[in-house]
Amino acid sequence: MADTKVIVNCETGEVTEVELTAEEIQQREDDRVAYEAAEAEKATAAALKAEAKAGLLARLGITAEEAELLLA
Amino acid sequence: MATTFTKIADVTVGAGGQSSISFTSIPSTFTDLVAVYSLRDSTGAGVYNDINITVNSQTAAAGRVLYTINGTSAASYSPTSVTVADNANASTANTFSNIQVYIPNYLSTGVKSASAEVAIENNAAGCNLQLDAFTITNGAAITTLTITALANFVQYSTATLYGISKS
Repeated sequence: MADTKVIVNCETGEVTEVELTAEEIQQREDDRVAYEAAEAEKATAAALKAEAKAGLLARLGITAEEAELLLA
Repeated sequence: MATTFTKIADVTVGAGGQSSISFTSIPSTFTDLVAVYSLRDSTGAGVYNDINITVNSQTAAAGRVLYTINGTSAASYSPTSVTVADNANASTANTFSNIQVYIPNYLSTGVKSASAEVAIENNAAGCNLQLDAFTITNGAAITTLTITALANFVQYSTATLYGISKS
């Protein structure tokens, strides 16, 4: 089945399905890959931060709740 | 205060999905616009995907998105487009996001503001609530709104455009 987009003309009420051009399909794929790469990068950064935090708490010998109390 | 709230148009995505949904030739007979979406994407490894709304043919906008996932402390970021979110393919089956976008004074030829509320539904961790604010620098009245999926909006996704008239 061809990739399509839907266009609703508010003046006439006409609903049209239009096949994507090759350029539009490529752009969508590029956008998806870029978005997923950025999300993966964010997830990796968050995991590294959590790991560093856990290591620091372990070295200090306190829990996360105790650290929160210290910073409150 | 809104005195009328009128449905301008709506569409439900059929089998096979749609990569984007556009409302074109939006009439100039109202004062404000409200777009309501119920969307699910055919791709995405997480619970949700960030997706964009294009105003007329313009994607760029300035904005601030405040969000909370699983009810944890709110976080925020500044997108450079009108960014909302839809349920990704990995979210609980058959769940759809709820999105409402409010655009006051859409006929203005100056800078326009918009706000959005987004709820990502998931029967597990990863529920996401968003409050968004945007400014759109576009020197023309809004005549076209397009929301674009990361891949395709799946069947039964819906979009409805309302016009509000003020006295």
